[in-house]
Amino acid sequence: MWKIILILLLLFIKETQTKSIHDTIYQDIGGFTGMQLLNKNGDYGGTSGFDPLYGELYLIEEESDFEKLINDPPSKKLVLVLNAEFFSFSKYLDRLPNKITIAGVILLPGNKPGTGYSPEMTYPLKASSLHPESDYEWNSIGNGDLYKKYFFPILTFPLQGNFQFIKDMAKQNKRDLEFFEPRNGAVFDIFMQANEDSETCLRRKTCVPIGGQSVWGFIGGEYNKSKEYIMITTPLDTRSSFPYLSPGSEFPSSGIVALLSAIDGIISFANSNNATEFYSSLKRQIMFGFWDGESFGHIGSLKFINDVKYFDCKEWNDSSHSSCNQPFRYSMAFKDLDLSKLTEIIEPNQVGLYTGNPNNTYQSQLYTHYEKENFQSLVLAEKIMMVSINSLKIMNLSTVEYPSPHTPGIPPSSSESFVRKIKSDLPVVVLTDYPSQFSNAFYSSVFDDIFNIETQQIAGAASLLLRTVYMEATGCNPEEIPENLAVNETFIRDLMFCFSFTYYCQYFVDILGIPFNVPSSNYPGLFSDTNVPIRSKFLHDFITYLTLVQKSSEFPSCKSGYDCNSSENCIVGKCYPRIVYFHPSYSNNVEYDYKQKEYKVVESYFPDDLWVESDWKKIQIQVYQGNSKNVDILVFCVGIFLILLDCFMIKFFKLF
Amino acid sequence: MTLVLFFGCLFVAFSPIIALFIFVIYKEAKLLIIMLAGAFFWLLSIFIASILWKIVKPLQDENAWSIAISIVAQEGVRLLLYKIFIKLEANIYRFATKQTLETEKSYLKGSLACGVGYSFAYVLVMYGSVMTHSTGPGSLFTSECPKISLFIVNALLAHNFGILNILWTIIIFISFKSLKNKKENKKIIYIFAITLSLASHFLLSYLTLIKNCKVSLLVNYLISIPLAIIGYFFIKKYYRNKKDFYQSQINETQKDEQTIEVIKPQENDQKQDLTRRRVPNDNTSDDEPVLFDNDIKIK
Repeated sequence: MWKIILILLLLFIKETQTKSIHDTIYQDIGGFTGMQLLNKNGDYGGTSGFDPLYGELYLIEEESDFEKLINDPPSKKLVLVLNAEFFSFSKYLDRLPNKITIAGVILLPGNKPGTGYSPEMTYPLKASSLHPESDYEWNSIGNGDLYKKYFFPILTFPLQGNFQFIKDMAKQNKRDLEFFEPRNGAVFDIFMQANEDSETCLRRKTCVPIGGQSVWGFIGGEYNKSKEYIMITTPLDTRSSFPYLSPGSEFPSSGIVALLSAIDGIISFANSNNATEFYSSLKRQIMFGFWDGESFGHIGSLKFINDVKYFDCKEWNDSSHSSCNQPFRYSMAFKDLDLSKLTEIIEPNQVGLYTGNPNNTYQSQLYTHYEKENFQSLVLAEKIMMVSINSLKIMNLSTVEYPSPHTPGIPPSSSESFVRKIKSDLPVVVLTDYPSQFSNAFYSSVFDDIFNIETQQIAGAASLLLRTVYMEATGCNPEEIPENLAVNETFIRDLMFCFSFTYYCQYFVDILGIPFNVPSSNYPGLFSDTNVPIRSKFLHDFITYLTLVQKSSEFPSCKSGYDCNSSENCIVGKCYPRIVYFHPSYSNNVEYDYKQKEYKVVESYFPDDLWVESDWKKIQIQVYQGNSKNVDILVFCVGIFLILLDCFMIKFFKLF
Repeated sequence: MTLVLFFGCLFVAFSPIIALFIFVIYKEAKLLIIMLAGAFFWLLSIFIASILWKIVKPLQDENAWSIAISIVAQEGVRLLLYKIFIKLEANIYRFATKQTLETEKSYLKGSLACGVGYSFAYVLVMYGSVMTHSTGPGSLFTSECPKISLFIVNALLAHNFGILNILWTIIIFISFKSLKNKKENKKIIYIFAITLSLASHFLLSYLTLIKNCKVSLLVNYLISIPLAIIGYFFIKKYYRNKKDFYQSQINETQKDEQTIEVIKPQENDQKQDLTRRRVPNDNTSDDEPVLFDNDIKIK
């Protein structure tokens, strides 16, 4: 009974706590946390309990700190404050003895792990690749940390974040403190509600499918069904231990920027001539595709192919059948697409690391990965090589080499989905900066930041892609490619800053009106029919703008999308006709039930791992100064002593 | 460890109240009611102070003014409580023909209960809201007091003010009553006692404004301990004086009894019977009528 009374008393007390005092004691520190992600096979990542976890800050900035922690583990709960180079589960955290209770881990940005760190598998997305049986290790340093479950939350900060004070607080604890000196600690209140696996949590409504919006279209804006087309494509997303802080500079940002620069190059070239004439003169049209959610089992590209082939609208939005309400598709343009007319795919993938001659920083090097048993792919790779050889005069153009013969075929890429699901002999070339294994030592990690890439390398890749695409679309010979067909390196540098550092940059502000500093993240996020990720929205609006800006005077002005009709988009104050399309990217194994308002697991032609993100009520991480355990006990003893003393005095020094 | 600090602070702050409640108040239902009345009156005082604070804008900017207005309200309501308490006591002892040591003792206990109630409400409101935050892992430290948690400092201050509030209430109740007594010839002592209570309340409250918590605590306790000792001896002396006074009255009555025949109660006048007291002899027997059940034999 007394326990119930105590609990009720404490609950009452909690409710009546004055906020100002609480806010003075506990200071929110922001940052980005690790999320709990689930697929059909289980749950991964960390969470606090239902009750917040707290512990004293314990700074590990040198190897000796770590050894000390292992050899002389404190009996109290700890929040480990790690210098970046110590962030590895397999190398450090998994080695900690069980008697150390970890309440959380705070990763401080700074020096990256010297030997590299990649939390992905050694063969990323192997199950949905063209070589699921292969033992090859594309990502040789991958340790699979992304697929581990741990029982404490983790937190980090963007490079531009304010985190130095946490290090200072942890340093204070590192001193030999006297028994009564206060200790600095942190409290993590991040309770991830989902557990077991994605099917279970979807049934319990404690998670939401991961997904975003892919962006696709045809350069020039018009699709001629009778014509063949080539596709230039790249993944639009990546992941890391801290999903919402996945800068992904080398992958996928370098590929996105290279592709966007190539598109910009072609559109600029068309606009500088007679655009309409140029596009109609193309022998093969150029389709572009930025596929979102690719890091989660190629769900972006698979969803697109699945919809092109099998989409069935249950409730149309209008009589013209231009959009569908259930399942929601704001444009049905994809249904017009004839996949049999797709002749080849060129994909710039990881192209941001400088791999050329160190003495000649203006000559980057690229590798053309192709399927070994696909002769047409080899022919395409040779063509690209010819473009490179014939364009040596072009500034910044990459030299091209074949990849190592030990590779099984094309590396993990969006193109794999098209080869698997459309045509196994589809010519595909994936451009990369590595000949055999990933050169990127920080693939799929929070350390794959803007300092990890070289703009010149991306410019080289973009330039090569641009000239190859021109050649393939026009059907000209390599030597006939115009010399003035080039990319703008400043444009590439600026875009890289946007895609891998902050969205508060010139292009995003101009096109989307981003009002404040938002660190760039290439994590697709939670899927929603109506919410479009920032980077997808930018690509959609920017390509539309580039294509139609010359004719902008022909279009009506607008302040928001409500001012335009259903087949238009309001971009930079003008109602431009829709020539670039979003396509939802989420698992093919899930469907939204519009009546029940919940996701349901369904069978699919293209099954995947059904990745979801756990729901959470709040994410709050705070630091505080707390009394040492000794002081708490001392005060308790003093309290008991005072009560006894007062009782004694009343009993024996009786007044009346 | 968080609940350990919470209960530690709770015991420190409420220790005098808990002890007095267990050993004095809880034993008599009347005192329990008086204590609750005392707590209510303190709440009333702080309610008045809050209204003034809200209405008068300059008070909101300066802690010194807020403290002053709060003390004035507390002391004013204490006086109001005294007035009501006197009426209550008079009602309870309305059948007594004259003051006895027992009524005096009851008055002292009642004023103690008022003080405990006053003190309880004070500690609960002034410190309780702060103390609840000690249930979490974090503590409150200031730049002036970087090593001692403000929870602990406040618990000690609450403990100090808790004791003083009880003492101030008893001293003021005694002093006002004595000042009203026309036969009292040492009124200056009681005026001094009231002045000292008020002055110490002001002084100690303002000393809490010292930002250095160690100095603030030290000075508070250095002033409070002598005050508490003085208060204790003041009450003790008052009680002894009363005891001596009534003892002398008893002695005189005993002398008179040898000559004056005791008035026997009339069967048809029960009320009259109750109002008349038969002064006990040294050899008190069970069949002798007594006025109160809880009368204690005076030795």
